[in-house]
Amino acid sequence: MTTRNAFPVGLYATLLLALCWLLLPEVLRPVERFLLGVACLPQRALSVLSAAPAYAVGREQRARLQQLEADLRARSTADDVEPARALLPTALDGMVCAVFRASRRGGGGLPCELLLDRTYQDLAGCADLVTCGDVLLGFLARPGLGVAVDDLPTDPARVLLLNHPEGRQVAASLPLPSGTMLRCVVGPASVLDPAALRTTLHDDPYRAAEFAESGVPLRTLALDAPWIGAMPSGLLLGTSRVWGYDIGGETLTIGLFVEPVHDPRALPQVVVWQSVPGSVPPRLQPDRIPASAEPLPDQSGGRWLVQGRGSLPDGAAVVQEGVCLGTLRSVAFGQGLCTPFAASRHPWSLWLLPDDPAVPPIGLYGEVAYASGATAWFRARGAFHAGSGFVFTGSNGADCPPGLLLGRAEPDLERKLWRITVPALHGSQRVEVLSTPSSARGR
Amino acid sequence: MRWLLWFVLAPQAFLLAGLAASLGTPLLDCGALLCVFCALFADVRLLPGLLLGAAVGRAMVDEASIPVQLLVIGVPIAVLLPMRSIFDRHHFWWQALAASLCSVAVPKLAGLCGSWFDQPSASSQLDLHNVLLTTFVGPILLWPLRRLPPLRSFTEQLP
Repeated sequence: MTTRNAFPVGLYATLLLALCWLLLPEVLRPVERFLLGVACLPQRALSVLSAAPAYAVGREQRARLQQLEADLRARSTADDVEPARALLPTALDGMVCAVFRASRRGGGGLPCELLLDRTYQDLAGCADLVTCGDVLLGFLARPGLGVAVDDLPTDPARVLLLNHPEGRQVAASLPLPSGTMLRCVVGPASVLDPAALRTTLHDDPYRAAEFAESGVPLRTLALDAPWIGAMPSGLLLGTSRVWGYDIGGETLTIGLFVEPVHDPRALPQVVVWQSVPGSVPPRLQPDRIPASAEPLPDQSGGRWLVQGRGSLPDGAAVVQEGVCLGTLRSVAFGQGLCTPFAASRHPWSLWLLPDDPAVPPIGLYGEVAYASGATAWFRARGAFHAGSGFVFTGSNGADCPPGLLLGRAEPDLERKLWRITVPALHGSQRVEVLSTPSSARGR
Repeated sequence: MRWLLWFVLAPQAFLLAGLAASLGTPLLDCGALLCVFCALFADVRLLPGLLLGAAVGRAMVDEASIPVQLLVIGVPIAVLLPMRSIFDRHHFWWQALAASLCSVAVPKLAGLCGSWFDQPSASSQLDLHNVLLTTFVGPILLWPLRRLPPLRSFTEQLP
């Protein structure tokens, strides 16, 4: 055996470089973009020979799509705004804000910050409560204060969820089996805790220690405070989760946690409450870069080489008349590689519009388990909801905002997966790449 | 010149395999095939360049980034390389064994690296049909390929 074969220094150095590359991806990202951009150039040259890009969406489909989008907005707004209206002061009016993304790990290991599609100055006249249905999610951050000390009034607003380590704690109560109420304070749990929120300062520690029921709802308690941060009573915080040791059939409680109602990653929109009814500031809208998409003959099927004018952002949605074809990986020379929903395996936040008009739109978070052509089997984390409908994008980043149609979803009850069928497109297509200005991406 | 040819042709080989599959031919794991060539026949000094070209090609058809592809293709090569001196690499059955190992290792490593580095990809699914095909067709396909440019110029010359 030659020494060179036994110890190939060049190969080992390349593997070491790959590990360093993964640890510091931003440093070598321009190199990766350049290499992939050069590798895409022959395909770009070949695309000149193909037919002119086409729109796959016809007039009837466009009208149907607009109807679906309007239906989604109307039903989600009704479901997200109205339940809390009865609990809040009548002077406050609900305003729906889309969530661009959920970030930063907080209590229970879940994200604890939401980035909204409106700026701080747009929401200056709003109460700091942020709700969804009758659920209290958290509080608006204020620019220049606390965790938002570096934020400017023109930046997209951030919501600090209740599991944020620097978020506000709230007074709450939960019903006990005896019919009385246990009062406590609900605040963020630690990252490693089994749930996102934790109760402390129980008004009766003995009864709290004996409490052994999970799934009991906790609601806010009103505090008689005349300032703007006054908390209304009755807003849902989550359900109880008793954590302890099992001793002879009984539970020795060591912690009373609160399981939030919504997974923050599956929240496509939230409601803020403004004191000036009727004034709705405009949303931060992404720019639309005209581009063309050429199908790449890859082995999994359905990837696209996207060519646009100017540089294309990483993670941006590639859309055609409101239909999301996939997300983009930016490469050099104004090109990008688009991975369609069915061929992707990274987590997606989705928004399901059920066919049953009585069922409100549902936020889903999960990933494609496997796919066959234009059909993907999507595994949603959390409870499985049965019922078919149309599926839209949820909060997947500023460049892939909520409300873009992905396809049709049917529940696969046997596997407890969603079978999502996306439009199958052939040949080169005229598309648009969504790009949010850097000032609207948040810090 | 040979490097120019390699960096132009290697990424296109992955697309060509996909094109052939879309036309009805069986789908061959191009990454596993290049692994076998690099591990058994390539000049060891040239491996970093060969690996980079293959990684760029795999990144074109896969969701994961180039460094993940370097690990996915490079680790099986590093494992198989010492075997070159022990076994007769020109023997069909050793090549078939190496091809089967690579066609299993590549998707498995894609799955592992995807979960470790948060870059999951569709190529992490192991397809038994694909493994069998790469095992038996891979060595046969490799025989003419390593006699043609650009692979011919990267083949180790024995004294």
